[in-house]
Amino acid sequence: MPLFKHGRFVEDPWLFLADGEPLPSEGMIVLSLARPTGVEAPTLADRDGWLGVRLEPADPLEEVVPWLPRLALVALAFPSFTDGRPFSTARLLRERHRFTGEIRAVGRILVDQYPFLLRCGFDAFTVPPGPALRGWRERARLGPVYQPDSLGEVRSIWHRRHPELVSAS
Amino acid sequence: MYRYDGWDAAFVRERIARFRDQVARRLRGELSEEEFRPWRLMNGVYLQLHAYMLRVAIPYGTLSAPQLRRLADIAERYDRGYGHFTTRQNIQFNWPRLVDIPDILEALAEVEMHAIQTSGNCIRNITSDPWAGVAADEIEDPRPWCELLRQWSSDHQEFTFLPRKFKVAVSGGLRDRAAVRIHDIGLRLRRDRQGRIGFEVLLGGGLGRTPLLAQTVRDWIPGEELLSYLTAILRVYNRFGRRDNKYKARIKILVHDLGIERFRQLVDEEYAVARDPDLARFAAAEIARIRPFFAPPPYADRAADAAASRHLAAIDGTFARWLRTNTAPHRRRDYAIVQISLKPPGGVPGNMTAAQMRALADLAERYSCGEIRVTAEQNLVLPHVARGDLPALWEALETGGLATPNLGHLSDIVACPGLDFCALATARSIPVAQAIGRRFADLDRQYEIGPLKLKMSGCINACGHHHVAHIGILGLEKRGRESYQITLGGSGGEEAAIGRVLGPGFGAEEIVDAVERVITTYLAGRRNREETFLDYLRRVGLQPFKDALYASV
Repeated sequence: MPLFKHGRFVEDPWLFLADGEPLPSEGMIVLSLARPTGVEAPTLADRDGWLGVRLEPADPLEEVVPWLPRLALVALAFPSFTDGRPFSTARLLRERHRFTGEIRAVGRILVDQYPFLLRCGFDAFTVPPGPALRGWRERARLGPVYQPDSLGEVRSIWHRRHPELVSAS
Repeated sequence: MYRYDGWDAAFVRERIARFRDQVARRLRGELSEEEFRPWRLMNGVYLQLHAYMLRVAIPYGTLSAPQLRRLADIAERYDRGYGHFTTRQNIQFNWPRLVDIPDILEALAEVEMHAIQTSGNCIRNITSDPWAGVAADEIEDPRPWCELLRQWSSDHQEFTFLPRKFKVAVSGGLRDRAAVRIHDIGLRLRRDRQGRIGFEVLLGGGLGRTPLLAQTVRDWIPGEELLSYLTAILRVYNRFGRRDNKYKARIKILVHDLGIERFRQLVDEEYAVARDPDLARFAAAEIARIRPFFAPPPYADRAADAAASRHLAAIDGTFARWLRTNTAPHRRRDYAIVQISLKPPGGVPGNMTAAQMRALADLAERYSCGEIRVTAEQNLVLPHVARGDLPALWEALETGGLATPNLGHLSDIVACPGLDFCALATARSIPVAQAIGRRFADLDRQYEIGPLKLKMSGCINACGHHHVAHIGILGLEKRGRESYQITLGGSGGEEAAIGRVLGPGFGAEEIVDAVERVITTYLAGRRNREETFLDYLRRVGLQPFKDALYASV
């Protein structure tokens, strides 16, 4: 699946493993939440190589929190582009749990959602191959927004109107 | 009134450019209807029975004369010469072609209007008291807070793909004129002992198939903390609200299922960590920036001729009855709040022709500091009229067919568009409302009946707010025929209540007679003229009405 990151399509170094698949001894792997919280927990804790977790919208976030220092990627699944739960999950990961690894949107997303996803902390997006690729190259950009994000990375309209408040934060 | 700065204008322009691109992709077939749907809804575009419909926001119900003129232009150019005011301070245009809608949005943007988030599973147009800024009982004008919320909720990064629509109303008066208890979140402005502005927060109201009144989730939140607190509520809802069944997806169901105590606990836990001092600083700075836009207009002192309307009323009964029913006390004694009924006998509730819009825009400039308000009961308001100008204004309104003196009476009917337009409707509402309006057109009879709110919806979604009407009518479909169910005893605003179903429905040809029997039952049973319909109903209950309507069956 093509991967869009930092404004362009890049090679995806990560391997997404299904629940039954054996753990490779090395390499960058992404697992469902069931595996690091299940019997494989000790193996995974000792394993070399980068680890990622894929969360479904209903997965309890608190179960992944202890693992966050070990994770370089959290993939948030969109079973449908109208399911808005991962927007909250991403903000909580970034703003509350200070997760600095990659937050990737996987599943059904639309390029028109890019400005919303980006501001919630997503920084990588899987895009279905085909005509959507051109759409992402042309349309994945951010326009003016009102809401400051608590990381202060987006210069919102309110930031621009009240520059005196920016340094106070 | 609020005026856009360059940033507001840039934001709206960018939204239109994006939507123009989305429309083009839809027309080229690059977006399916499913993929296009969230974007057209967030720009106010519905797919109705016969055509598209565009719902334009009138944020917190405040309009300027040039804005009303622009609505008239759009009605003429893209609709069939009229617009339809809704129950949530919006105006709807039927029949626009999809390809024209970006141009309509550009025409709106030129007068600082938009259709942003008038539909979709996001935070909808923020509604407020139509008497904001002029009501005698006001704590503070709620509109700066509405404007803050308008900005905060526009393209919100986290809360644009909610389980379901989300409606917020803000009331600034001691009395609630914004129907806060039928909203997902209702905010009532309060001052604490130190004089600081804050809000009582009500949660989980809504009509539809499960009518529920909002409950207080917090007695007091300081004004600058409002955005963090709302973030906490919306986050709990976005994460845990049901998404498996759209009829169970509103926040009211989550509040009901968890119970208000448990919900409050979840919100408080979230608020404790989500509380964002930066957001509070921005909110305070924005409120300080926005407030001066809503400063009172430069009123001329008109105490000298304020008695003119009393003098005319003494000799002209027609003027006197309009003065009595359609004007309300202004916070200045030499001024009045003038209510414009969009319910002429036999008319379509809430409809206004382009010619009437232009005439009213002119009158607003001449007599109301250029300002018009839109109410949740599908009427309009001229908020700043000098009492000395009332006779001249009344005469001009009469000429334009805008002086129907029926405010708050039986023929001041609220009705949704129903099966004549709406894809969700199960029955017609407009023709029934018209028939009731004609049957009770006699004003003296209406005054004899006294204050009465009749509202009707053409389906269970309850856009006509029939649940909170003294007499509510719900149009359903039973075995291929329209069936109209009556509810009695509902009330919006202060002392809000959900009406109770009287019994089996009536056919389209029977419903007007059924309403007539409800009225005659009340008139025959009331103690005196001071006992209103609602008072009588609360005293005697449904039984006398059931006897009158069903005894012979």
